[in-house]
Amino acid sequence: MTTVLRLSLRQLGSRWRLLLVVALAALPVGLTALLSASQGDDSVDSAFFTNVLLDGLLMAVILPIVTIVLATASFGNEVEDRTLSYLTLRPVSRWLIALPKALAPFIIAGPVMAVSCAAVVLIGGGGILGSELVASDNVGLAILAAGVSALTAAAAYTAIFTWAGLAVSRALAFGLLYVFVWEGVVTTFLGGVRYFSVRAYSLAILNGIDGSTFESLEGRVIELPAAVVGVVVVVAAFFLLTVRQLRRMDVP
Amino acid sequence: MTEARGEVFDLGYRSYDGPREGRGRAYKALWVNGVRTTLGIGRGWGAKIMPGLLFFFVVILALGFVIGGEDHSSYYSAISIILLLFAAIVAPELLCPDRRDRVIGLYLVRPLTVTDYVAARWLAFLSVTLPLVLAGQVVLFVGGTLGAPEPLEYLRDNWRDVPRFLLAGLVIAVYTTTLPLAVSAFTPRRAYAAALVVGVFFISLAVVGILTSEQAVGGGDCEVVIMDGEEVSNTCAEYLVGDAARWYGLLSFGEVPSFVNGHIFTETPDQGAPKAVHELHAAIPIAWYALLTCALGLALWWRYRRIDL
Amino acid sequence: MTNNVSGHSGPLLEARGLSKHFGLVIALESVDFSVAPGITGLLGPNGAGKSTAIKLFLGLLRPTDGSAEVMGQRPYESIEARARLGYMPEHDCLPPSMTASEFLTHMAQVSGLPPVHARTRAADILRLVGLDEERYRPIGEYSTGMGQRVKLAQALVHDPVIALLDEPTAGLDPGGREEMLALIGRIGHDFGVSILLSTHLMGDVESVCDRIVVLDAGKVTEEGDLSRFTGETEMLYIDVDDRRDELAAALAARGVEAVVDGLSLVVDHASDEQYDLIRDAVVETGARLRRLAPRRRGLAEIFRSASL
Repeated sequence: MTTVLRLSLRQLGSRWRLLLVVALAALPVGLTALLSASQGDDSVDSAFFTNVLLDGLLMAVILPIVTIVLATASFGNEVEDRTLSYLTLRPVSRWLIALPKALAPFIIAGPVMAVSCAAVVLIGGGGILGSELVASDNVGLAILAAGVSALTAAAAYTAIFTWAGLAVSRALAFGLLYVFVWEGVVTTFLGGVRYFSVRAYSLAILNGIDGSTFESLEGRVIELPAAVVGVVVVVAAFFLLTVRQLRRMDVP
Repeated sequence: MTEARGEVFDLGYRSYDGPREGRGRAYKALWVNGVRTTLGIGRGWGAKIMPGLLFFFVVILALGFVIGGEDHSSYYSAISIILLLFAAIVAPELLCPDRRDRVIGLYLVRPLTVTDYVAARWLAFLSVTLPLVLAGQVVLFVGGTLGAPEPLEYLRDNWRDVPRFLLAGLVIAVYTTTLPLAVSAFTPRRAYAAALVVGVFFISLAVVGILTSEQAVGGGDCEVVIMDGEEVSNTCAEYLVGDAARWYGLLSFGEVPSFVNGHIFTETPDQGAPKAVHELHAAIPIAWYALLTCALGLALWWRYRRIDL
Repeated sequence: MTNNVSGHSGPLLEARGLSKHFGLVIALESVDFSVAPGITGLLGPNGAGKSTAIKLFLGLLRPTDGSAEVMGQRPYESIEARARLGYMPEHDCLPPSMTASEFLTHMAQVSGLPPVHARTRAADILRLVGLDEERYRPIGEYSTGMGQRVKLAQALVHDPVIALLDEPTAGLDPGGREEMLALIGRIGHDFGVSILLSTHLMGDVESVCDRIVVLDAGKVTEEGDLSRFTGETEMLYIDVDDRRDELAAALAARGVEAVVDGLSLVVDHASDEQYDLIRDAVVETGARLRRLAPRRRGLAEIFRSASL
């Protein structure tokens, strides 16, 4: 398993892809710094910061795009280059192949995105640049909330899109549709869909850990236990689906 | 060789001495093939999802607009997200597989030029997007006319919207055709082209959305000056990052056609980058649109001029 | 031929002083040769510049110097000339999601045929290359041999004046190779479609070509009718189990010149009298005769002797 993990990490961690991921993760941090610096004394209300920057940019756009690009490529490249058989011919249990393939994109995307989210909250709320975009009594808790929420979202997205890379012929299109149409458009029309949206889980965790800093999410989040159950179910279900798909498919 | 020999005839071979329509036919064949590919005709159901989804949204939104009594000027920005997703995912289908499977070499030894090839593909995609975006406006116009208490009066008051939405539709369709095709010209993997286009669209949209967001200014000397029905100055709110926001707004690459849209309909957009950009001189967003579209078109053409075979 | 472009009557393909450089790499250096109707073999080892020459004739590449003309026209300028060219690339060039039938119809149209004719031609050509039932299946499911047939079919679907086939036998098993060559022979000799066939295999050229052009390291080393190389070179092979040297001496004594080639004695252009003399020599020496057979010299031997 460690061999597969190492190989997958090397495949996904090609220089330009890492560069892209880091650049994307750095973008909201830079933006927060710019806003803080240009802000001076006038404090932007916390709701704007939470809803537009943290949710609107990071959770809704950058985090999904980063995980889509990495996770769909995990199996997707093997399928496209017809190298999947080298993996599946080995006499090991399928989940020992699926696990490292799903772990690799998470190992890259998870920490990078968690750091990005935490840094945004730290700069925005810590008063480092002389202004406070976020009114927070306990910056440490807010940073923790942002990091944990980003990690869980990355885990859930990775599980879904790793499966998609194997099972869906156009995994990337599927991923983009899921994120931008399902989570982006449909949830705004149908509130109940929130219970089936990774973005909603991540916001619920954000709000659940630090309810005072991120109180502006109040109206749009589901209950914390539901979100936690949702994440666990998504990760487990899509991992099992990946294993099942590996067992059943004809490898070209 | 007009007369085949007996043994040849047995094998069903005949020399071809029918009409040869050369370049015109080649161009048309590529165009038809491109339109079919775009719509997913003759392919699996997977290829029909995106065009179907786009059609569904176009019509649903138009009906929603009719019911909501909204006007033509904001229709395009309402469908722009689904249109951009459609373009980003489907447009690479027209160029990337030909290069990855190396069919392009077979095209270029036939009676057409590289320019013909690129132009036929470009036109094929435009031939799908343009009618689709206009379809919604037509539904909206017909719905508005039929739903009005005095249909003729409605026609008299609103006929100017017809040339406007035709022009604005062309503006948005040309842009959403050129950009993803230009990106597709630089990578043989459809997925990368789609990810790049969507990434640029949505990330610039979100970033610029933040840069052009406004905040209320404290104090009581708040004033809105309106001249000829247009807001000339507004001291109630100011941009978070100052007036430079109007220029930052131009960087929202997915919304470039919307900037022009506002000037075509002579309406001030009510939020986000289009609103900020609208405060600049009209020539700037129009020139920006023209510059971007031409540069992308040239990049596409230039890339194919020097393609390796 | 009625189907020449603008009634052109010179050679179908003509290279004059043709050079192609890729940066510092010289693919072709001042090459002159021409291709007449019939089947011409373009023979040479890998990297000799065969594919480059073909691409220059197709207009996919432009010459660094000199000219490559097709029916008197430059292919990258003349759309009419390209309408009458066929090209079968060496590499894969088929869209896996289309069926052979769709693909051929499409390609015929891109060559300028109206849709109705394109469909008929596509069906005819697919039957000709031996794809009948399979033509409604996606090309991605085809075997290598079937793929090669589709590649050949798309080069012929618009009834070209000349088809340029780049390594058409590459990757085929011996049976498939025989069939492909037989097909090419029929097309070139019976159907009036001239062919330029590039290959690194002598056997391909020997079995179907009328003329050959030999390329080596970017230069033409030999050019001419195949018969010039092999026609007048019939040789008699005498295999004996023992007393080979004594037999050679006996032959020499009778004025029959015999060369030792491996285990055999070889006599050039054996005449009827020489057959009698050989028989006598065998009887005299008592050598145990295993085989006495005439054989045409293969191209391989011609080039081996030329390079020595």
